[in-house]
Amino acid sequence: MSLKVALVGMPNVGKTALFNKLTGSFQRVANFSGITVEKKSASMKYQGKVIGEVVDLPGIYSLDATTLDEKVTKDFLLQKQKEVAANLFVLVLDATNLDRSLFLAVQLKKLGYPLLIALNLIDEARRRGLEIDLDKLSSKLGARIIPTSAATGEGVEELKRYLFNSSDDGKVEIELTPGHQKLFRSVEYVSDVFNEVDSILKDVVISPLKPDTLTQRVDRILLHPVWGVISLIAILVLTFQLIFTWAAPLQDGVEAFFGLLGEGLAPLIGNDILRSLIVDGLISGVGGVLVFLPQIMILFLMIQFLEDIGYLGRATFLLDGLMKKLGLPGKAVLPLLSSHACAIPGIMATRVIDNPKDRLITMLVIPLTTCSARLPVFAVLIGAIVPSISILGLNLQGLVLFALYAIGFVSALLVAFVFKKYLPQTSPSMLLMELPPYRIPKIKNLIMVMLNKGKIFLKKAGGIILIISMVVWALISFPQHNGEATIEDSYAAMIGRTFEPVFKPLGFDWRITTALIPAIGAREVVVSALSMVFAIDEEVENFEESMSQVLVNEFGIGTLMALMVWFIFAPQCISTFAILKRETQSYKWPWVMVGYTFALAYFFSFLVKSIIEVWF
Amino acid sequence: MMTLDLAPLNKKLIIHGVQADQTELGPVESRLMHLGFIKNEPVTLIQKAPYFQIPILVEIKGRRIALSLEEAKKVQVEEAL
Repeated sequence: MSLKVALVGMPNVGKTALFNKLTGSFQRVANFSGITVEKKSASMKYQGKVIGEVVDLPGIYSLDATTLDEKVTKDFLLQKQKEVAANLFVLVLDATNLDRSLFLAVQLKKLGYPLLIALNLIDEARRRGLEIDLDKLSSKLGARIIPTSAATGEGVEELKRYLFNSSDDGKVEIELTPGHQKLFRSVEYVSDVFNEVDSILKDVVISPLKPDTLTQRVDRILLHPVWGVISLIAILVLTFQLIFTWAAPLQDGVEAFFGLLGEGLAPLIGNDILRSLIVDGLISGVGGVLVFLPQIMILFLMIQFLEDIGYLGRATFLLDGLMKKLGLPGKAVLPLLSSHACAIPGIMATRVIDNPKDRLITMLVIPLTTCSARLPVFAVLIGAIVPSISILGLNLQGLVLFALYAIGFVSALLVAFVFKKYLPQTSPSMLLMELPPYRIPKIKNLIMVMLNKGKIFLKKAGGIILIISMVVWALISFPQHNGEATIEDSYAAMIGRTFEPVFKPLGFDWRITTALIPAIGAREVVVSALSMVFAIDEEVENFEESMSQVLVNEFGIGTLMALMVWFIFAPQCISTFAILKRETQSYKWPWVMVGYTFALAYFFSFLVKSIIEVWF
Repeated sequence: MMTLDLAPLNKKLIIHGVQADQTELGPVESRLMHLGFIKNEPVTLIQKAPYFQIPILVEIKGRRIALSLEEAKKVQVEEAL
């Protein structure tokens, strides 16, 4: 048996950052997928040798877990599952928040866990004047203490060396009586542990921490009932502006690249069918999706930036009252915001919501928020309908994009309100949370996250999008008569025409219907599917513009608006269905989600088209 | 003695305790205590919005905690002398 080390500690003490440092960038971080498990594990190397496995667990305040993610950690620590317990527990303490993080230390010590303590964020604590007697603290807690900083890398080598020299045979067994859960919840027990923490601190602290005045000053504005709300709106608008303006030059570059690639390769391939497959199918299909890589990466960059700086907790704070009025807890804000990147991490993030019904409702409405896969579709449609003019210094296209996101978000809240009526509630959800101090984001971390997300998107483009592009190409290019294929007689047209009657009222003809089918796999392929259906293959260089132009000529504004509205609500991709099935452990809720989103999409697309046709 | 939601702003307050009907804590009470709402602990009410239903902001042990009105009602405090 090899060494197994578990990282435990309060939320937001830098466990995951430490985990990444320990396991190194060349180690693959695996997500174990199971129903209640959301722990990460990876192997750790020291001097080129694998020394064992490190498990990163969700943060807990104590062994009295109240939310789903905390229960994952609790179950790991208390061995409810058949998992082999770790040989050693690395307890990560926040040096800037010792009062509270020592609670878990004392609790685990009392229960007899083999501990190694990483006193993390030590650089920040020292800067704020903290001085402690480490030897004394070590003897009080009965564990070796290593001061660390996941940010600077301090102490990481020492930690590794210690782990390298640890034995891996001692199997941890903790004696627990059925009464322990009750004990953890009793006022007396909690007070006793805190008293012990206080007495430890009195002994070991030589010079206390200076208050974090920066956070206090910034919060005076950003949490202000008036200025805070205004700042919140400004920050969100700015985010969407940046997605459009920063990404533009990069997108031009990607377009130029694929244009040249297609032009360069075409004469080299002799076989007509093969050339068509590569140039019209693969290059134009994958290229059409990759054009949006810059926008997606900037979106992730912005979300990560707001998260790292400590702002997302503040957004939760400001929106809690509004959210509660609409029937959702403030804690739903974070999952709802992060689902703008992708619904899957958003649905996973709902685990912080303690009330099961609130959590279910949040998961059901998450698909209404605009995920990044819809961005390419919106970008093309906005390019087609909205002129690129400046209003009050803001780009109109950026404003419309913001409006689309806002409609998605607001409809998520409204639908939640309706669900709430039909799923009666017992007790309200908790808000109760600690607002993290503001921290300057580490540029390296931001870039890593952005590149990583970009890589995941590329992998998707290299896998599912590549396959779908080929299938769509095949459906469009066959059957051939005398070596020629016309789109009107293709298999794609046959499929599209079968569904055409259903979507006729929305103005979607067989070409759009055909493009909608592969969207079930991944939405972003709608763009490449449409481009293939319309045979916009020669000039990938001006992909977006030519696409937009063809769309306007062919369909008119009414249908395009209807299509845009369709994508605000449209049923989710298969992955979202699967994750919802996993998280709710039933097929009922995923089907409810598909049903209601389809109904909304259909109704509002029809409404918008009808209104526009009456007007113009 | 008063509940935290009714306490004056920016004054040093002393926590008297978290309201619990029985000896066993509910999830909210448990979380409150783990966030530092312990008897005799000093706490300051930083912000309370009379409109928009924005939650209450307090500072305890140098850390900022956000609570809803209902949660604040569970905490008994006294003004420090």
